[in-house]
Amino acid sequence: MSPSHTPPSPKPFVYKAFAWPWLLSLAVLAAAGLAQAQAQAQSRTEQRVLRVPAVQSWSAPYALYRDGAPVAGINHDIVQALAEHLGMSLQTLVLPRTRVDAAVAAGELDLRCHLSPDWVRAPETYSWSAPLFELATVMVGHESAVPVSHLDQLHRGQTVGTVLGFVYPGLEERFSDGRLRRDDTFAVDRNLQKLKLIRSPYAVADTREIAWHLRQDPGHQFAAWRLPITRTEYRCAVPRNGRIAASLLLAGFERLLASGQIDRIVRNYSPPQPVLVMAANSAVQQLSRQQISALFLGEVLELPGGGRVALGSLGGALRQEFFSQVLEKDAAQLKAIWSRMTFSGRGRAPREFNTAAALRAWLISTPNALAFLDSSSLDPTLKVVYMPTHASAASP
Amino acid sequence: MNPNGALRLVWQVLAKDDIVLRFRPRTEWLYLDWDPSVNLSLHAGRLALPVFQLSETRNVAYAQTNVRPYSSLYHLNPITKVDGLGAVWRQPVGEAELSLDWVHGRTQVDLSTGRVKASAINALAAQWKQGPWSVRLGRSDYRLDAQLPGTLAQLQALASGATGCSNCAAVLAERAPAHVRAAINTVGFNLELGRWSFNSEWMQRRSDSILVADADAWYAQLAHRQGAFTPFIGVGRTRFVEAPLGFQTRAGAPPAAQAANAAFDRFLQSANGRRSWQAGLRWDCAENLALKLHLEWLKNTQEIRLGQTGSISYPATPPIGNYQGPAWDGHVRVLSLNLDFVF
Repeated sequence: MSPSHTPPSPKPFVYKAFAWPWLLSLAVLAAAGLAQAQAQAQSRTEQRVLRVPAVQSWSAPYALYRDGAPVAGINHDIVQALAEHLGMSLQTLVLPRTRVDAAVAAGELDLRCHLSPDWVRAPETYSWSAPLFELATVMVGHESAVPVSHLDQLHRGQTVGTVLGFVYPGLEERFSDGRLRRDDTFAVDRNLQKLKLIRSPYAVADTREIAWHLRQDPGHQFAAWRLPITRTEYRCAVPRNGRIAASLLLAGFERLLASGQIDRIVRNYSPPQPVLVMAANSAVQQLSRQQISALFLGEVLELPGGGRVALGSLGGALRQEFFSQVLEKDAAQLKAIWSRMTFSGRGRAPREFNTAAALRAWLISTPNALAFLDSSSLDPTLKVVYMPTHASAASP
Repeated sequence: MNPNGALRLVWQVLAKDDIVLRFRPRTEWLYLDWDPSVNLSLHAGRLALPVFQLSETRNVAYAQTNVRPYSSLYHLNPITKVDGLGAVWRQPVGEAELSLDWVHGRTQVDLSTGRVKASAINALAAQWKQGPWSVRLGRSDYRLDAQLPGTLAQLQALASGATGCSNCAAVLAERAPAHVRAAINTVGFNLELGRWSFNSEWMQRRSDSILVADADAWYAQLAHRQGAFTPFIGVGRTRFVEAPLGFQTRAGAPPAAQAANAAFDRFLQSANGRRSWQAGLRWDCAENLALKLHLEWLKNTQEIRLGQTGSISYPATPPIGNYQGPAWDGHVRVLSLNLDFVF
C-alpha cells in the first residue's frame, strides 16, 4: 500500500486551520517591529541632528553670511562647537527674526543662541544656559555731534539710529514718550553706516558690532566716547518642546565654558577692547591717555579735580591689551613699577579682580575708583572716561 | 586705615642679612602720610631718606633691572632712613611734572666698628620728569657724631706720638673731628626710549672730617628689553678725593715709623677707589618672578695694600692690621644669581 492511501493525520488539518492567524500575527508583529525599529532609527537620526536658527538680522561678528547662509561668526561657531562636542550634525534654518518664535512653537528648532530671557515673550518655555559672555549696548556718536555723558543731555525728539524690531530696554521709555525718536534701519551695519553719513548723529549698537564695523571701515568718523545703555548676558536656550533633551545640550555648554572654548570663539572675532571706566556718578568726565598713563604708572596719585585715585584691574588678555595700547609697557615693566610704588608707600598696584561683575561692584562702591574693563562689560552704572584709539578707531 | 584716604599709615618691615642685625626684622619705615591738598603730601615718623634715585626701592630687588643698585655709589651712604618730618610736593608744568621731596630728622646707624649718630639731617630732592626722560637733583646735609671706639683709639694712638708722629695731634684735631658735618650732592638722569633704557647717577660727598672721607662717584647703565629678556651693561666708579693729611715723623725716629705714618696717612684718606663693570641678564620668567644673572668686575684703582671697609672688606696688613697672608691683587669678580619675586 502506498502511503498515499494512508488516511491523512489530523495535524496538517490543524495546521491549515490555525496557520493563517499565526502567520498573520507574526507578519503584523514583524511589520510593527520593523516600523518601530524604523521609527527608533529615525528618532535616533533625528536626535543626532541639532536644528538651530540663523536670524537674518544678526550681524558681524555674531554671524557672517555668504549667499544667504551663515558661514562663520560667534553664534555660528558656538552652535558648531556644541554639535561637534556632542557628536551631532548641525541643521541651520535661516529665518527672519519675526519667524523664529513661530518656528519654536512648531517644534522646528532644538536650540536658540544669542538670546536673553528679556528678549523673548515666554522665557518659561525654554531651558536656559548659564551666561556664556556679556553683551553691552552703547550709544555712539559722530565726531561732529555733541558728546553725550547722560541721556538727559539729548534734546527732546533727538533721533537715534536703531534697528527695526530691536528692543532697547534702556531707551524704550524715552522712545515711547517722545524724548527720543527711533531712526530704524534693517540691519546693524546700515545703522552704523548712517552714522558715518551723519544721517543720524547718534546710534545705539552692540560694542562688538561697532568694533567690527570700525575695523572694516577705516574711514569712519566715530567720536571716541561711548554712553553705556544696557548690559545683557548672552545665553542659549533650549525650547521645552524640542526633541533633544535640554540637559544634554546645557551640560555641553557647561563643558565648553569650562574648557575656555567659548572665550576663544569670542576672542577670535572680537579682540579685547579695554575701556577706562569710573562710576557713572563720578565728577570726572574724560581723561587723556597721558593722564591715564600717569595714574597707572604711579606718577600722579590724584584725579584731576582732586581725590586720591583707587585703581582696579582685570586679568588675562584684556590686561595685556591695556598695558600695550594705553601704557605702552609690558607686564614685567608694570610689575616692577607697581612694586616700587607699593614698597615705597607712595601708592598701590591696581587691585585685581577675577570677574567683570566683581570689578563693577567695586567701581560703584569705591570713591574715585578707576579701572579698565572690556567694552562688552559696560553698564549704565559706569561711565567711559577714556577709550583707547585702537578700540575706537579702525585697525583692519 | 583707608589706603585711598587723605590720611594713611605706611609701615615697612625689612629683614635682610647685615653685619649687625643679621636677618632680624626691623622697622625700616613707619609714618603717617597726610595729603592736605592735591599736590602736597606731609609725612611724620620713620621715613626714607631721599638721597639717591633708588633710595626708596634699594631693597626691592624685583623693581631693579640688575641685582642691586650700583655699589660704587650706594655704599657711600649707609643712612637710609630718618625719624622726622617730610613733605612731597608735585606740580604739573605743561606736559612735565616737577616734584620736590624734603625730609628733616635724625637717626643712628650701627656699624661693625661702632655707631654713627646723625643728630640733624636735611635732604631735598627735585625731580623733573617729562615724557621719556627725567632729571633728579639731590642735596642732603648731615651732622654726625662718630662713635667708633676702634677707629678713635687708633687716632688717639697716632695723636699720642706712639708712631713717632710729630704733628698728628694737631692734624687730627683739625681733620678728624668726631662731630662731623657732611653733605652729599647728587644728579640723576634717566631715559626710556622704546625698548632701550638708560640710567645714570653722579654724586659728590664732602665733609669736614676724614671719618667721612670726601669722594666722587658715578655709574651709567644701558638696558634693552627683548620680550621677557633684558640684557644690561653698566660701568661705575668711586674715587676718594681726601687730601693727604701730611703726617710728619720726628727726626731721629726709625725708618719704619716714617713708613707707618705714611701708611696711616693713606689709610685715613680712605683711598679705596674702584671702578666697576657690570653685565647681566634679567629674565621675567613668570608673572611676578624674575631670574637675574649679574656679573660684576671690580678693580681697586687707588690703594690696594691697605684694608678698608666699604662694600668690600678685606684684612689690613701691618701697621694698620695684622694680616700676613698673600696680598690682594685689587680685583674682585662677583657672580650673582637672583630669583626675585613680588606677591
